[in-house]
Amino acid sequence: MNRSKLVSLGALIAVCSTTLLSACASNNNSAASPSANAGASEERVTLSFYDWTDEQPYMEEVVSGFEAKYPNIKINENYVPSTDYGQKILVNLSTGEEMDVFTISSFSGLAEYSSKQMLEPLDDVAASTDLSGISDIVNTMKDGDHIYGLPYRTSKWVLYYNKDLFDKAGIDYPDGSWTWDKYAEAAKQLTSGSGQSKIYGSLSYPADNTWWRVLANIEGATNPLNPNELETFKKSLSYYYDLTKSGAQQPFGELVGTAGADYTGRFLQGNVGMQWNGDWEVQMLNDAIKDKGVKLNYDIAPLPHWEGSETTTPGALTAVMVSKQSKHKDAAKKFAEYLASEEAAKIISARGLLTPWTTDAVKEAFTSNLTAPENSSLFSEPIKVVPQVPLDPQYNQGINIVKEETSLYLLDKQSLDETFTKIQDRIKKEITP
Amino acid sequence: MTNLRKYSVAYLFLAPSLLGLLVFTLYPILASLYLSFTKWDGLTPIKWVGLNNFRNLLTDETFRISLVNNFYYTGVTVPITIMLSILLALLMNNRVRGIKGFRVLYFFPNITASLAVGIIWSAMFTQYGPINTIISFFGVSNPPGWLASTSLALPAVMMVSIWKGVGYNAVILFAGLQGVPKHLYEAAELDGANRFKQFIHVTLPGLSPVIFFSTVMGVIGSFQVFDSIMAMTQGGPGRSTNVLVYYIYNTAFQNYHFGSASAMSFVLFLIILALTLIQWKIQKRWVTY
Repeated sequence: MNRSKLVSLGALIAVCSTTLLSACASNNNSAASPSANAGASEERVTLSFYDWTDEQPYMEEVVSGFEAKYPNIKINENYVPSTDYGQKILVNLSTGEEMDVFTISSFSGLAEYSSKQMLEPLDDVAASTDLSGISDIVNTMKDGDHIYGLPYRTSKWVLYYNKDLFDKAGIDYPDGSWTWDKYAEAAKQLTSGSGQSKIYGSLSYPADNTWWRVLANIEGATNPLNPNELETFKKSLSYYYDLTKSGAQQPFGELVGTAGADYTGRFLQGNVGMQWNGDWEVQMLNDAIKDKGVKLNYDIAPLPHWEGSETTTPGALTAVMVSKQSKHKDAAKKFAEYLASEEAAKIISARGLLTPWTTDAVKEAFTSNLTAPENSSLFSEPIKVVPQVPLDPQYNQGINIVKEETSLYLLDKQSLDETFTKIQDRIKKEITP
Repeated sequence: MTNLRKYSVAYLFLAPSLLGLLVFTLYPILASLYLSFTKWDGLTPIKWVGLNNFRNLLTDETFRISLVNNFYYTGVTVPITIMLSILLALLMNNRVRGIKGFRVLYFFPNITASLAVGIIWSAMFTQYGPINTIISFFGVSNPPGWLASTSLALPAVMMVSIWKGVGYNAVILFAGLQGVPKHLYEAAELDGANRFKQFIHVTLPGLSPVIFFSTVMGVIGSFQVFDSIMAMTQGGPGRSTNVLVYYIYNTAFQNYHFGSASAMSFVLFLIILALTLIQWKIQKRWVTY
């Protein structure tokens, strides 16, 4: 190869690499540039918004509602699959990637970001008149002296039951008076048969599940890092274990893997009497009944309560936050406020999802969409909602230790006392403040 | 000077991949070496902690469990995979009608995505799955719930990785078999060696460089096992199938302790390096070239 060829090759490489670079640069520009139909003379702002893919259907509607109200603010939507979402947010925050507003479904994550000074305080927005209808719930989000997240979605847990199986066993349908003892008793009565036609009274999960923690949540215990609350966890787990030992639930050893985790599929098969689950289960059941022609005659009832306690339901709040690195904080706050407002709540409720709002308009939007189950108005009833996840950045690590140790108990590899001694030891050793 | 000119074209052609190697391999390795001496959660400033991360590993129970599982896993899977692969390679070497089709079949598990393989196998290992149906057919009245058992879950994963690895190694060994000179067999036969003796004294020594290669690669690969654990057991029940890479992943990307995860990666690197060097030393005694 002679010299001139060499030079031209080098030039080619140089050109290629600069094209690549400029391609990147132009991408960035287009994201920030105003769209063509901008008629306003005021300065336009583009916000970068991150959310996970599951929320995309109604979030797109909320965003267009917002853009119609504030024509000078454009939202650049980014949806990330929920499995990668936490990592994506972390990368954005640590690299300074443009991100003004983002959402999270876990209180523990919210606490983690705020403890690391990644979030802009939203106290002024939280106190605005637009949000006065949910001020009680907004105030539960206070972390230290400030509010860093505004709630826009919530969840409620109820008891799902298969009406046909209740009729066949001749048991009265569950209602608000049910205690967990009553649940266990009914579960035993519903259980019958063997082999392929075996009917279980209550739905169980793989041994590493934390479904049983709901029974602790309703007693006010959410955080395994707190020894007092851990006691309530212990009581719930022991109840759950006994329920299986009584034969009313499928043994944990049979439920390993993906098949065991598919609770909707197993409930739809019609050989499980009851399960406790969140409001999302309604959509999943209804979709299967409508689209796949599955026959299931089910209804919902309030979650049972412990003897001597009132009926409550755990609710996990989904919140919107503003990044401290945002360059357009005022606009970002406006969007966060809108997302938590009643207007957005109506859009979200119309999709069959629960919001913190309980006004008639929002209830109406919710129930007009949901025709089944019969008792679906239960979701709008004023049942006391208790938190499900604590505002503690180390909760995730704690609950993973709980999972690892309690699965050994549920599989009969260690005793209940041993399990909780180990949990406490491991929390002390592995979770450094 | 002429040398430089002579090679510069070659370097220019190498540049793209070399640049990739520097940016995407060497830089991350050095960065994680640095991180292993620090405490970092991905958000707050990086804090230098010296050897603390490594010191903490000494008392870390999950790390110990993972390490033991790794040695157990490698100790079982590598020898069995190699032995079965040699047998399979010998079978493949037969002139049977349709043998080419079988060679393809045996190689199949290796080209299938391991996550998919893991999910299918975890369904096969369930209480009423196909494997237990076969076992109970042979008169076992109470077959185990493989992946729900702290003592059988890891062996179940091992079986899958052996099943997956045998085809690949067999193909390599099969190629090695073609390289054993025919005249050696003729000489052995003239000296009265039977088939078994021919195998011990001609085939095995002839294959030894390939067996050595397979062993080294097998040890390296099995110490890095992750996907089958992720797909089949996720470290459970409890921590009974935790392995190092899985624990590193959890530490870094679930709990965001990047420093401690980097420290573990370097311990893993040193272990693999040491094992490879040991094998390199020992090979002089048994590998014939």
